[in-house]
Amino acid sequence: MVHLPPQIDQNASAPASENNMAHSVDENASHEIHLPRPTVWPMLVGLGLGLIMFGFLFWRGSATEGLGLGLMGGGGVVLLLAVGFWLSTNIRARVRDHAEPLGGSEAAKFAMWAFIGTECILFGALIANMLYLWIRDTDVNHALHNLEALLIVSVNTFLLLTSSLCVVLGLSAIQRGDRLGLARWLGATAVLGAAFIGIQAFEYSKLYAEGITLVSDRFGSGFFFLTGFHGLHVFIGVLWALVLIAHTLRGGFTQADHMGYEVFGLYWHFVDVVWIFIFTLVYLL
Amino acid sequence: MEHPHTPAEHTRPHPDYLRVFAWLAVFTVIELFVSFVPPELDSIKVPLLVIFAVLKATLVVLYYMHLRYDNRFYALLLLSGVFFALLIGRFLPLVQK
Repeated sequence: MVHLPPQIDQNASAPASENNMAHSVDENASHEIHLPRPTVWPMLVGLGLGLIMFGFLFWRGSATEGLGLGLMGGGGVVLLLAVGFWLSTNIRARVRDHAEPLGGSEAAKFAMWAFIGTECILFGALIANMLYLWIRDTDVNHALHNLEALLIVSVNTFLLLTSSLCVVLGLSAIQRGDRLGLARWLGATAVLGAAFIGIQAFEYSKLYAEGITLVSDRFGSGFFFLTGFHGLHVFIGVLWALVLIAHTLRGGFTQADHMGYEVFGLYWHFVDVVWIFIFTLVYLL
Repeated sequence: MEHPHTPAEHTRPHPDYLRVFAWLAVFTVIELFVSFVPPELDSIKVPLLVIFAVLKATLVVLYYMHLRYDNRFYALLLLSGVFFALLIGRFLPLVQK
C-alpha cells in the first residue's frame, strides 16, 4: 500500500497561529490518501483491443480469414477477462482497502472530460468523412432524405433529447436526496436509449432492403460506421444506466456524493451532442 | 468513508432543465422545416442548419453538462478536442484522394 502525503486543500484557509504546524500534522493523519496497488490489467485491455484490430485487418484479407477470426476471438477473450479483473480489482480496492483515486472523486470527472475530448476527434473525423462524400441527387441521398426516413430519424432525435432531460432530472432528484427518484429517471433513460437502438435497427433494415449496406459503397461504409459507432455508444450507455440503477437501489448514491452519476451524465449528454451533429449534418443537410 | 463536500455545491445556480429542453425541441423542429428548403437555396440553408446544430450542442454542454458552472479546465479539454476534430475535417480531403 502506498501512502502519499495529502494534496494541499485549496479551500482550506490556513490559520496563521503558532500551533499551525501541529494542527496540520494532525490533519495529515486523518486525510491520508490510500492509492490502489499498481495493476497490469489496463495493459492487457490494450493488448486485447490491439489483437481485435489486427484480427479485423487479417479477416478482411482474402487468404487470412481464419487467422483473423482467431485473433479477434482471442483478443475478445483477453479484453473481457482484463476488463472483468480490472473492475473487480478496483471494487475490491475501494470496498476493502478504502482506496481512493488521487485527487478524489473529482478525478473521475476530469478523466471523463479528457475522454470526451478524444471522442470529439473520433466523431469529428467520421462526420467530416460523411460531409466530403455528400453529393446531392444520388440514390443514397434520396434514401436518407425522404419524408419517411426523416420521420424515423426525428423520432429518434426526440428520444435522445428526452433521455438527456431524464438524466438531468435524475441529478436534481439525487441532489434533493431522492434516491428512488434517481432510479426512476435512470430507468426512463435506459428505456429511451433502448428504444433509440431499436428504431435505428429498423432504419438499418430499411436501408439494407434498398441496397445501401456497409460494403455497398463509400457512402454506405461511412454512414453505417458513423451511426453504428454512435449506436454502440448508446448501447454502452444503456448498460451503464442499468448498472447504476442496481447501484442506486442498493443505496449507492447520496445527496453529498453522487460523482459516479455525474460522470455517467457527462457521457450520456456527449452522446446526445454527437447525435445533434449527425442529425443535422448527415440527415438534414 | 468521509467525503468532504463543498458548500458551493448546494448554492450553485441550477439551470431550468425543462426550459433548455423546450429550446432544444423548438430548434429541432425549426431545423426540420429548414431541411425542406429547396437545394437552390443551399447558400442560406446549409449555414442556417449548422448554426442551429451548434446552438443546440452549446445548450447541452453549458446547461446539461454544467460546463457554465464548472471548472474552466474541462472546457479547455473539450475545446482542444473540437480543435483537432476541425483540423482533421479540414485536411481530410488530402488523405481521401
